[in-house]
Amino acid sequence: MRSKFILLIEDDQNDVELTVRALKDAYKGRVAVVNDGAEGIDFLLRKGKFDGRQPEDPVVVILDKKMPKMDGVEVLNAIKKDERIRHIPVVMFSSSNYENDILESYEAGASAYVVKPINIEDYYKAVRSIGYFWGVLNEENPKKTEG
Amino acid sequence: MKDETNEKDGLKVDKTSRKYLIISFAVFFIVISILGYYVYDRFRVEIVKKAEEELISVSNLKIQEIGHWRNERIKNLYNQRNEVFESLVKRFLENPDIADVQKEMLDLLIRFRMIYGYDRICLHDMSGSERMKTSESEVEMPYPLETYYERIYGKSEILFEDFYYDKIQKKIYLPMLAGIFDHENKSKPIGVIIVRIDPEEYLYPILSKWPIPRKTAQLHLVRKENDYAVFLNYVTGQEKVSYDNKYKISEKTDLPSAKAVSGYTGIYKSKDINGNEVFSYIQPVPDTPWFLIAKIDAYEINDSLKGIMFTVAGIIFLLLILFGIGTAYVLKFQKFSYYREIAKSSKALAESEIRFKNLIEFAADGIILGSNDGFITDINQTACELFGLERNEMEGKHFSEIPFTKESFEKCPPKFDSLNQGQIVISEREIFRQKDNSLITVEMKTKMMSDGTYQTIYRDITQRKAVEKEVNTLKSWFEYVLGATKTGFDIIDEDNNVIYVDPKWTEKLGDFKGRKCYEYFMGRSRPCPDCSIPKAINNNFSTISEEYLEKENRFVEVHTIPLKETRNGKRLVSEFNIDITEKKNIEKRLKEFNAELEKKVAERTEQLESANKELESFSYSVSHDLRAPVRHILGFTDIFLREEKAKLDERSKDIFSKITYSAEKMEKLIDDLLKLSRTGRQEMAKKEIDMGEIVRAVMEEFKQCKENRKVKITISDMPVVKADSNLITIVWENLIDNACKYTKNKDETVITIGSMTENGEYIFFIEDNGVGFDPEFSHKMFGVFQRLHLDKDYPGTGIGLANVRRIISRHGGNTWAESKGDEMGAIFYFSLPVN
Repeated sequence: MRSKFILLIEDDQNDVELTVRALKDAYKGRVAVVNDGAEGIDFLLRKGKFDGRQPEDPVVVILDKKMPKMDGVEVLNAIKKDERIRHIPVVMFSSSNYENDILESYEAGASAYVVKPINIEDYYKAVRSIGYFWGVLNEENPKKTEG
Repeated sequence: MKDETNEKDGLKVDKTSRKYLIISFAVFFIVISILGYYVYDRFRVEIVKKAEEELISVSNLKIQEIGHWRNERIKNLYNQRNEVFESLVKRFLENPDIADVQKEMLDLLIRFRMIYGYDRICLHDMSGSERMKTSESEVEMPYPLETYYERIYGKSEILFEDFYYDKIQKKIYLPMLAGIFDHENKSKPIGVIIVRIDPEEYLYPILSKWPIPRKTAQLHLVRKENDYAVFLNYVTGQEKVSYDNKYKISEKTDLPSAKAVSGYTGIYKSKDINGNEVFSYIQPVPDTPWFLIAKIDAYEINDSLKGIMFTVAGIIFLLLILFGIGTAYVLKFQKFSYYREIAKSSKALAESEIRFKNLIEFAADGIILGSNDGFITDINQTACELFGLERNEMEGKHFSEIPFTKESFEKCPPKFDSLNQGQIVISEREIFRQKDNSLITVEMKTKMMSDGTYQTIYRDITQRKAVEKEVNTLKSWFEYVLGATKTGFDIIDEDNNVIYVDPKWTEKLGDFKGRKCYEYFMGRSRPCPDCSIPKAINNNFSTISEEYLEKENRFVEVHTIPLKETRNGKRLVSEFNIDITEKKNIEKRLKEFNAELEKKVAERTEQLESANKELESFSYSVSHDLRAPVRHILGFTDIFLREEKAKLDERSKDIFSKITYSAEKMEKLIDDLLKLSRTGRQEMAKKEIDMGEIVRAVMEEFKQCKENRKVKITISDMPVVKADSNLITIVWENLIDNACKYTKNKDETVITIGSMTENGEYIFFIEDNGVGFDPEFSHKMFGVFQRLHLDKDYPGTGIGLANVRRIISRHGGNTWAESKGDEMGAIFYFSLPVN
């Protein structure tokens, strides 16, 4: 049996810690973390240093929007342009509630956009909800291909 | 006096006309007499001519008849002497004793005599002896027979002899002889046959017959015999029988018969042998020694003339009588009508004099008649009124006493020369009217009459002068206004003919007569394509257009106004051409300036856009970068507290609570700042919104305001305004939040929300009975991060009112606040334009 996992692409280590902590509360599966966009793509396409990773796709990619090198929307565009990985749901998880950012993300093909709440309780609640929804409730797209 | 003159004249006229009448009567008499005589003479000539023609034609006719008769006789004898007769004669002459032959011969001759009416026939042999005769009676033969033989020898013709007088018979006869020849020898006659004709029986009847009825007409045959003229036939009134009736020519040369035998042919007028005056026509009878005289007594011709003469005289007399009657009647009528005319004309004269007197008296113009030495002899009422004097004050005065002003003489000196030449002199004078001392202006027309007297007509033109002055003033004003406003004025008819152009413009453009507007003003050869004249005329309203006058290099605004008047049946427009060259130049400069401005705006917009972009990235950073550390502080504080709470003392707990509070405060600040920045940049979507509805909806959101508090909120009616509903909602959220916040310590919170209209603006307000503020700092109320209260008492970021001001200002309105001081409550106002 293949194990479900969530890919978190986040450059801020504090956020990574807080997010992973919250995800663990809602979801029993693994959480893979990469720290920038390029790595995220490599991970999904099992390229570079992720060449030998297990062949499954994550049930969801939680993608920070503001990142160095390749920002969240660029990563999303790359995912949605690639036939091999475009079926993977991507949830944008960003501090910005700026309307343009939200619009831009949906137009690029995001499955959801969640603003990182400032209040830490709300933050936890939000991350847990994402984990529960994608990791437990949501049925994966059967169309996904083996890498 | 007048009447006497008339009567004298009348008599004179009467006499004159009578004289003329008598003269004309005499002339008429002479003329008619001459005419009568002429007519009579024409008749006389005509009658004489007719008589002469009659004489000639009757004479010719008779000559012809005589000729014809003679030829007949000759022919008969010729036929009679045929071969049978000749052979019988031969036989008889050769055998005279044979009784049969004798008898046969005699019978034949007697038969001849019977048939042809000869008086006597006898037959002679060549010896000259009479061998046979038809009558036994003694006769005398005309000539010795021997003479015949010679004449008939070898000739077959008949000899027609002249009359001869038979003394025995005492009568004249006409003998004819014919030779009788032997058949075998034609040249040698064997005998002669002699026949004798009685002219009384056979010839004279021809002469006695006149073909038309005449009393005295006669025809005479005459012959010359030695010195004598012999009448061959009977002449009425003469005792002598014919042939005996003769006279010596030399004794009576004037008689027609004497003239005839002397060889005269033609009409001859003289006394005849009876001593009567006769008209005769004389001509010889051919082949005979005879002359035929056809004559009519003059008295017979004169008799018919007499009748004509009496008729003409009668007509003349009748005409004269008629003329006399006519003349008398005319005279009488003339006299009658003359007196009637005199009566009529004297009445008419009197009436017309009265009429003319009235006409002059009541004429609208003053009239003065003056004597040749310049004294006023007559004056009408109008003139008296004109000079303000009574009639008796004027009459008899000298012209020079009329109170003309000196100036008017200087302006228009008198023209005595023209007056003396009989010309009408027109001059203008000012007069002091005596009655009211006013100054009037008159136009004066003076004429010197043929008798040296003067007539002067005065017309009061004071009013006309005043009107002229007024018109000139108006004209100069009009021209001044045109000049001052740089306006040209013209009038044009519907066919583009220029009717009038103001003088100043004409100075520039020249004479406009007979020119078309497009040519005169625009220098075009055909009408302007968008000509406003037909538009103005057809729609009957004024139009305004702009034209560039190329000739003058300037722009005008043309006000084309249709006029009610027409000229030659054509409708007219007037045009005010206001110079707008300067305006046009300004407009041009303005356009250039605008273009420059637009360029600058574009540049600025570009700059602004890049600034906006920077701001966007700034707010992005703020939202993203500032939030994360706050979140992290809160996150890790929470984790720490959760994991280490039991180990912490109160002091530590307090510190951590302060850290959390600060972080949360930080978070709120960031949020509000972001909101402020967004309201400044967000695009506005203005639409009609019901302010009351928005206020009530916002109020719904502030339920917590009423929780555990006594609150009285009053919302009065609000207008519908045009604004961005989201932004206005933010305004009310902030204002209502403030009102709730700053009244929280009151026993009873009273909040009143309302609006009013002032100076074309809606003013909205929210009044509370809260803590209020120090009015000294009211200007700081709407600044960013400006706070008038302690955070611990009334927490806040100091951004809400700044946001309100920004939103209202973006809508073109104002914000302000009033308070009477601490604990006195506050009123916050904002205004929005009505449109």
